[in-house]
Amino acid sequence: MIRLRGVEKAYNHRRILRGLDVHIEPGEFVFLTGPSGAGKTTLLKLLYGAQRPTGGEVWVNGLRVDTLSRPQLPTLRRTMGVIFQDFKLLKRKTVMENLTFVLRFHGLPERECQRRAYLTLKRLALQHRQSAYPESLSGGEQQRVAIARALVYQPRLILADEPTGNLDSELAAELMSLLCDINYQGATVLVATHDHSLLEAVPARTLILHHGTIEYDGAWPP
Amino acid sequence: MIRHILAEGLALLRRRMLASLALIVAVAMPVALGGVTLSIDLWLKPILRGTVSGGTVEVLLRPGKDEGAIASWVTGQRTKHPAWRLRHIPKAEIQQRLSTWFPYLKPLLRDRPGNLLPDIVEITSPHPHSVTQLAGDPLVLAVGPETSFGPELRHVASRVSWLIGVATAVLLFSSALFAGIWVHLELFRHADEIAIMRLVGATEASIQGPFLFAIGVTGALAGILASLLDAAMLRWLSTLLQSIGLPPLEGPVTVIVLQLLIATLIPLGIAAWTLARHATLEIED
Repeated sequence: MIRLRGVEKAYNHRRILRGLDVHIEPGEFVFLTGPSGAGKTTLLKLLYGAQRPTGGEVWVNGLRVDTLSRPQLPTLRRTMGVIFQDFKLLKRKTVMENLTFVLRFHGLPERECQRRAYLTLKRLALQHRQSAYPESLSGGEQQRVAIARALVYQPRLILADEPTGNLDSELAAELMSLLCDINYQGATVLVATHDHSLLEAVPARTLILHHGTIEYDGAWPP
Repeated sequence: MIRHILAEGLALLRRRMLASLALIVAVAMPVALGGVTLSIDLWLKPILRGTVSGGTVEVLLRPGKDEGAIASWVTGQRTKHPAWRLRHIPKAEIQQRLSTWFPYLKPLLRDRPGNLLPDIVEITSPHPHSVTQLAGDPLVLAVGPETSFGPELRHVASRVSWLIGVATAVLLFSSALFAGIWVHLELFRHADEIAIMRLVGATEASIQGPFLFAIGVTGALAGILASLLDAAMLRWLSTLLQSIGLPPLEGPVTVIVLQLLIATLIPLGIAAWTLARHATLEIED
């Protein structure tokens, strides 16, 4: 599912990632943790092709991401769902439109887009807010819409970058339960977080990134 | 995909109605001017053909002569002087010219029978001076002064064409710049949205499509407006030209097609270029 081989990343001669070797099997639930500035977000950006590594190979869903050309990136991104800390919802579109909008890029007919979007919203208990605009939603609801958008086309891989960063502990727990549920249904989930309470709450494989290298790779708690 | 492009493109136009209207006018003006210049050039060609090396002399015939006598005189002159080009100006046209230039003559021209007016024959010759020999002809009342209308007309027309051409080029460049700024500002305004679209797997076609559609519609409307302005200007100029006895200006279909193409393709090309430049900023190296 995900394979990194000797991945290096540097900005202005400052090395962020140093020769990373990581392998994540399909269906795994993995936490990526470490202090701020350890390179968690950079690593996720390499996985969805927003950045290119300085060296090494990045493989995701059988595609070599570091050599993909710009027109090939949508193909990669349609195989994964990305959840961002700042939600990245389209403000001018309603909750429903935020989901159908993504489905249209998958070439689905309009009726099917509407059906799938509704079912996903229902699964996340958001069906009553389908006509609302993101700005009228609470932080927790916005995060759930962001998750719904990542799940609506049933991707095989979910990447979440600090998904609980803007949520209180109750909503964070609810979100983690949801991600576990998605993982239970077969999707691979990679969650980047610096919140240790999440690691305690969900026993899973954990990668600890420190100074650009993997300091720990194994079950948590150890 | 097409539905998405149409919906988003129309939304873009609706939100930026005023700027889009300004862009339509900005593109239409130089394209219309260019069309008028081209139409004048095309109109001048046949007029200047044959008159460049010579001149045109007006010959006034004695009034009261019947049409048959005048026609046989004209035919006779053509046979005698093959180098001359003779054009008989009908009485109705003279009446119209006199009414235009001397409006106070209108009641007189209306009340008097038309056959009291003299007939005029315009003779274009490589040697205009040779036309003066007609002064002794019994049918001829007077021979007008030798003119060099052709070269003068060509000189003035080339100057005017050059000036309008430069103005058109400058305005066209400004409108292209305006189109580029329009796209650039819209991209800036929608930067977050575009970034999100890319992250969820949208193709460049679905991202750029609405912008290209909006600018394409704007350009096509500018082309239509340019053709209408062109037609109005040609009509107005034709009225002036006809009053001095020159044939009316016409807007050929090729000029209209050219205007539509230029007005659509220039903003579209600028938009495509701006969008392509923006797309390369996506991946941080």
